[in-house]
Amino acid sequence: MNNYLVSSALFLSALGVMEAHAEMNRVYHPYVEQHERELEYGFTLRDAGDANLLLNRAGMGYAWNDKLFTEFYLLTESITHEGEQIRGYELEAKWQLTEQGEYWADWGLLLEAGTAKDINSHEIALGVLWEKELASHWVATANAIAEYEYGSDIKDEFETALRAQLRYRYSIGFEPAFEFYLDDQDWAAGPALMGTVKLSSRKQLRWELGLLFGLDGDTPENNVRGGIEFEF
Amino acid sequence: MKPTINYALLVLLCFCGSVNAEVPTFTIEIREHLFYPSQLVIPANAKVKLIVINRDSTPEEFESYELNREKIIMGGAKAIIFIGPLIPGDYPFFGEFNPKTAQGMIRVEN
Repeated sequence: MNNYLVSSALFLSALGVMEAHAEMNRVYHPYVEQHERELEYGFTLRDAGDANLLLNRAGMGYAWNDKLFTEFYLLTESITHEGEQIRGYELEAKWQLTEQGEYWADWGLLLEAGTAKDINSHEIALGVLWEKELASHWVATANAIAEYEYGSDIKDEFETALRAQLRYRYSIGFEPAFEFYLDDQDWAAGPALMGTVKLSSRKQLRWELGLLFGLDGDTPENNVRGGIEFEF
Repeated sequence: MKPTINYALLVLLCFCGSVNAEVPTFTIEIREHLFYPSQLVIPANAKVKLIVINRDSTPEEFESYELNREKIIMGGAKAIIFIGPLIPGDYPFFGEFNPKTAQGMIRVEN
């Protein structure tokens, strides 16, 4: 396991010389809950109050066992490097690599494959998911993602991205956090709130809402991200 | 190009060491939608391994927000859950499939 992770680190670091692009839509946790089914809606509102570009995603997922979760997404709006808005589809698989709490930190892998509906554009991405439970209810999470985009309508390229979250587990219904999203298009950071509403046994709603402020001139100043998941 | 990402990736992913020495192990059984024992005393400031054996034919979920754990245990199967290190105190847990009956408590003592 350790040799594999060291190799992954070196691989991703090498990719770091290349460009990156990712949406500011979420930070992934490296856990899978067996047989969980999920319906999801999420959005990112870029440049809130100015250009107001709304990116949507809807997905449904299933955990096949306690290690593998897959989800299919319909992207009702996505965006290319040139700012073109397109529709697309995405398939995502998440592997929980280590048992929660067994090692110094918890690890997972994320594999994504996506394609656009209206143009010839495809992408495949591999992410390393990391989470560490800190003292006094604090939890740190990070995702390191390497992505390859290709197709006749776009420029083929490797990209990398880093997402990070520091979350305070105040209560099941209310968890404040602070998040960073770094890629070649966006450098953004800001506060977020999230929580879980128990509906009944084995049914619950998870929600997230975050404000992300651009850290450089290329990133829109004000962005809002949100998501709601129905788990059953 | 934003080279800071490279350094951040390197720093993040080099934290890949693990420490997993022998840890104290405790066993909890699920029978008739109840946890046995329903209260478990474990040492403070130490990682602990729980083996949860589901003797029922139906699945159950060990859940505890206080312990930050959720784990499905299929009928007739067992699951391993690592908790801690924890400070002294009481940490409730329950079975999400049968929350009215399947309830328990981890008591952490020095």
